[in-house]
Amino acid sequence: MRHLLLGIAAFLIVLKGYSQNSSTNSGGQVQTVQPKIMVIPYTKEGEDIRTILEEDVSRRIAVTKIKEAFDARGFTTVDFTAKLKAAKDNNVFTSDNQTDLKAQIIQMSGADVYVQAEVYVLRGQSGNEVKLILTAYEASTGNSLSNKVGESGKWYTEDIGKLASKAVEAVVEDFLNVMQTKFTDIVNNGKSVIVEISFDANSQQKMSSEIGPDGLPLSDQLEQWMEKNAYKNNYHIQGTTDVKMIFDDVRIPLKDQATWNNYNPNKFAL
Amino acid sequence: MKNIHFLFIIIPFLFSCQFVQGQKKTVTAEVNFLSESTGIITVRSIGYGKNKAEAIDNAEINAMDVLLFRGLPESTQKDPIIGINSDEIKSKNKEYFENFYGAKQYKTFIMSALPTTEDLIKNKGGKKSIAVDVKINVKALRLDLENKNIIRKFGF
Repeated sequence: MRHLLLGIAAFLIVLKGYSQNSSTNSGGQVQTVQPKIMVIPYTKEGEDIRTILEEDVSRRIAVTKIKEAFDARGFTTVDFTAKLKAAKDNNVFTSDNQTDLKAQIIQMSGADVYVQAEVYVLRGQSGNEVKLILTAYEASTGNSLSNKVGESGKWYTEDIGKLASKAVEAVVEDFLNVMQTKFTDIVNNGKSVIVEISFDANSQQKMSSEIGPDGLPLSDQLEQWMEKNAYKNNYHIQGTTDVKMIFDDVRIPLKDQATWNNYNPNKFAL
Repeated sequence: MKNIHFLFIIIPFLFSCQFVQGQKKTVTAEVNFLSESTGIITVRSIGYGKNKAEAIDNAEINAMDVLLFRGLPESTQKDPIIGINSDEIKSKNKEYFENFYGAKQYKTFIMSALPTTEDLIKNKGGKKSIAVDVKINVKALRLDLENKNIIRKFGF
């Protein structure tokens, strides 16, 4: 009897650990976790992203105008310059390679989506023009979410910032509408994740090893598991070797289909 | 005998009533983009009606319908704000659209509707029409649709 009471007490202590704190109890309400979006300037190979924004006002204006458009849709973006400053202050950058530097900032910011703005200034006798290439990617998979080219038109002005602003205004609404279409597709058909399963080169087990009661190769067993667990049976195999199997597109739902709580890649891996 | 005659008259009449009710109101896509600035789109829309007021109303409704269910080429709103399947969307959100069109809620998003001619133009078949420059507050329209859960807010 004493043992039983102790067991029940231990069980209740464990349960208490999982119960919701009364201070944060939302009464069962679930707010969908929104993607973190960061707007960044495009940099050519060898260009220092740290000095690009400081020196080039037209790029700064383009980035700010794009962020403004997100704000107008009631969506808060991650501030690139603030992240850049924080990274500089914390000496996060470990490499001199500028491409790596950009990747490091994206990784450090925790952004799910990044929007890249490429600004070209075309000067001519018939006026100056700014062309803008806007691209949105999913940071985890590299999937493209929206692409647009904006043009300011030719104007007799040296105010390149104003032209950059016009180029953004010409396409940003359309750009956001396409992004929203892709977001709706994610809500309906799941978020794309990459699943990579690999063995050590010296491992005794290979993808072709026959395992389990069926004696099926491991790669087939993995595919069967994915078939059952990918959201709406939606997955794609990039390739399989003896030591590696890559699923380059596995869809997982945004919400747990049983509890309706938020779902994420970590829960998929549980 | 009299009752049978009465039935012969009344039954075809009832069938014709049902047929007319079953027919859906034809809307036109005679809406062309004129200009836009942040959050505002101006279109030239053709409206039909017996009198000027009725034709202007029709032009406004056509402009709204095109923006919501067809999209406006040449503008930044190339895709429809809600979706292409207008009948399904309207029946799914019956209450909203009864209020939007029936109670003329759509007028709260129209900043101006200026006829381009003084009088109605008589078309073939006796139909009378007018071209109207309609200025629409697209930003407010989108916010209203988002708040009433007709479209999803930006994001997931």
